[in-house]
Amino acid sequence: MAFASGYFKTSYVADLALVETRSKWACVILLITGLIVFPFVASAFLLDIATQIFLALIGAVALMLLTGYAGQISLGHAGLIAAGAFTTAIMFKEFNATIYLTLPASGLMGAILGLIFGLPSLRLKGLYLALSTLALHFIVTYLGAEYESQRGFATGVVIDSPSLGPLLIEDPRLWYFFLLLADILVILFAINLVRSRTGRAWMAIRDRDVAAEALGIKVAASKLSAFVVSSVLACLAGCLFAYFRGFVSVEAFSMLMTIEYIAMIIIGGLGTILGAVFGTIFVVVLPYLIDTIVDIFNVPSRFTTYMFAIKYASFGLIMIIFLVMEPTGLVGIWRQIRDYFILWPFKYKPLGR
Amino acid sequence: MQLIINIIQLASLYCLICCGYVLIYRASRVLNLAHGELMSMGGYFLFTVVIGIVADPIPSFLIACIFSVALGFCVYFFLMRFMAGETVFAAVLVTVALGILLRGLMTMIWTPQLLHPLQYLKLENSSYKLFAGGVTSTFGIVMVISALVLYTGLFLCFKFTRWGLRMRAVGERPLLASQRGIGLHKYYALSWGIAVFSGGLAGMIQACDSGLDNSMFVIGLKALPVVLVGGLDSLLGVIPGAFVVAAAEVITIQYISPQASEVAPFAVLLAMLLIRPWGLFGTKEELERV
Amino acid sequence: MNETNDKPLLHIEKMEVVYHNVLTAVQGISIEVRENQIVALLGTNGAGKTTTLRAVSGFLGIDDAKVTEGLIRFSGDEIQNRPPHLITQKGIVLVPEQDKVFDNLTVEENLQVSASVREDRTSREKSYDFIFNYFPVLASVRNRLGGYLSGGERQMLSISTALLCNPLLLLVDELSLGLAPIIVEELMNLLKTIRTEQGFTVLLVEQNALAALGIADYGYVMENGRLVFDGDPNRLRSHQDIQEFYLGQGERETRKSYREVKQYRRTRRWYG
Repeated sequence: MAFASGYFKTSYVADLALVETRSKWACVILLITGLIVFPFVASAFLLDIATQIFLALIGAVALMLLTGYAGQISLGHAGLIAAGAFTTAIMFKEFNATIYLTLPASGLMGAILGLIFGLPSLRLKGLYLALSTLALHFIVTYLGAEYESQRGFATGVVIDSPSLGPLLIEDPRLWYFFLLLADILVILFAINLVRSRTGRAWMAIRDRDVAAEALGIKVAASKLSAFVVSSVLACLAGCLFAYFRGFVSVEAFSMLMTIEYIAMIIIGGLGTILGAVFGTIFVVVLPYLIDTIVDIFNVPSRFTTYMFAIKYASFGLIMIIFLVMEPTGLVGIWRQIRDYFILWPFKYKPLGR
Repeated sequence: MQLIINIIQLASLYCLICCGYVLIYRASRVLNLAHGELMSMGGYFLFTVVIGIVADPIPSFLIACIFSVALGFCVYFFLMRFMAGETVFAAVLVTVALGILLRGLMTMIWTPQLLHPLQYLKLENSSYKLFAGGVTSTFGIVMVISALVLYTGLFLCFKFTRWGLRMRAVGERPLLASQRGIGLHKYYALSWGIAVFSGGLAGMIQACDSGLDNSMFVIGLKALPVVLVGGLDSLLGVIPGAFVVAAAEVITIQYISPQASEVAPFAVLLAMLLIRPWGLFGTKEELERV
Repeated sequence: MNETNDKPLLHIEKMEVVYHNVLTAVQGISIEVRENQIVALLGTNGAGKTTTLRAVSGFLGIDDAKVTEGLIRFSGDEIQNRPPHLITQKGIVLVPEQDKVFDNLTVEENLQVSASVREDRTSREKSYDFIFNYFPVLASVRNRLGGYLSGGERQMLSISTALLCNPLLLLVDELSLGLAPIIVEELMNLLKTIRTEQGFTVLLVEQNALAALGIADYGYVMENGRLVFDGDPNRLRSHQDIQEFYLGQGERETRKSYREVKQYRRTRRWYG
């Protein structure tokens, strides 16, 4: 079984291939088959979790591209998703638009907002940039709240399920496959993007932007492109979010959502698409895990009334643990395990340990 | 006139909170996004002291302040100390996570309902009529006086005492300070202690003024633009920053809508970041460091 | 070797320093510094000199480096991998290469910060006078902010603040970097004078071999993390290879092509 524990490629075609060896192809096919079969064997509860994971993954990949690859810290992610959701809601309520219109419109809104969110990055870095995105997040959510109150949707906007041609996407299984397809497209897009010239430019900017400029990379254009691509994906995620929930309200897009997405990319491991996947799975499953633990240990009911607060607190605690102890995230752990098995019995021992 | 009184009161509140932001930034080079929650903890400490220990105003405030200082020490000692070598981004996220943790704990321990420590203190938040038809409350005045006293105290200490000088040195070049024999942990812990104390004090006074519930941390978030307008590492800059943001907020409430006033500070923040990111009195090199 | 019979003040025994668990920066060096000596550590960029100083002063942890083998003995105590402020308390004070002064404090305040670590008031008040005796320039810029000082003044202030910490061993990193030759000469001589009058020991890391050998009592040469030569200044000055690579005196007056130089470097042998 060859999992590429060395470099064995002999042609450019082989070098550019996404999946390197036949063993890896076998794994990919196994994974896809598993994913396709899953909805027919799993309970409705697990199906719902899986669908949530798929939905969150698009937003996580968007943030990973921006923060993990291009190094631009953004605290405004929830604002972008809200923008996508609200664009969908507004177009649906005002113009009765179908998904064929709302999806591209959300993408367009993403591009415009991406430019706006990205403009401060030409002047600011790090913490200051994060704060400017935070400010923009609040402005966007304020605009959404204004729409809600002006048009009388005090409790939120209700949206019908989308229909793609003859298919009305309402059944949970249909949503699963629809989102799975969307995810595969987004992940393929992201993987190829980071392997391309754009992706390499982003990584150069992330590491040493002065040196990148000196090497001839147009830093301003690259930074803006990172923001635009990320925002388009985030707004598309928002559009799907709106259709999936069937309901758009500004309370759902709070700072907590931004922090959840940031947690996904950090816990998963900054700088890899696989990290986005791992992180999303972890963060989406965590509340249910806590539920199970609370059930097992028969926690007294005085505490269970505050399940939300418990989940909140545990979430914070776990984020702290990961940030302090395992900065490379779940991907780092995965790589250590995988490398151990690939290299066994030849383990690399670093100096001085 | 009422507008001006409101601005002064709000600005004092922001001054108390933001002095904490600046001290922590100078010590740990991190923006403490859990400050709003730490401030709420101050209010909750007061409530617990008042119903559990002693109900007289001065002792209860004093004890609650001691708890706040201890909380600041603990946050440094058990958490921020380990983030010393990590990137700024990671350290900021740790404070975010801390804020989340505290919010969850606060809801669990004290329930999300609105509490009034004032009723247990047997005091009244009476209103006073000032000249030209303006109205203020007892604790509004307490807020302004506290801010004045605290700031004067801090300025004098930093300028004229030994440990103030050393704190300035540690804030500027920790490595060099360490090489000259100054123990860093002591001064970092002290910075965190004073910072959480001032935030907690603001929380306590605010709790007496308008009640205490688990959404008080939002005030901490709205106070962020103040330190950016003034300069992240400048105590002096907090004062004009507080007035600018307070004015923006109060005027927005009056002439646009209360909903918009939540967003007004952030509009100011954005404008400031685009025009002069390092603030009115901050050092420009701070921009490059992060 | 470094003579006199009593034990050295600072003894680095076969020390190895590793960065990030993978990069060996210093390999098995042994250095002895005896009391009241000025010992010069010479070498080009990247030779490992600053790493050695950092190892002695305790600041390796910042760069994720560790002393993985060997010892550093100061007056008999082992000090490798101990925390920096403890090492400073033992009497080892570093004059760093970068970030030497507090830019936002005045000269007076800079001095106060160092002096304030000592407990009694009388010794604090006394301290400044002897500093201003040695560096009269500092007295005239007393109230200027550290950031506005010239290079020479900054170096003087840095040395002064180090002196105020009552050093037994003064570690000086690149004293001459960025300074005009005349100032370098002045500072070097001052350093020697202060050492003689105040009675401490100096370990001087320098790229400017000529200036360093002018005041040193003993010298070590490092290259690529290893010690390649040592001796008193005369021995160092008379060695051909040192002359060629560190003192700028070639035996041939004609120009060499670069290829010849590189090959010559590679086949060089270090003999006594």
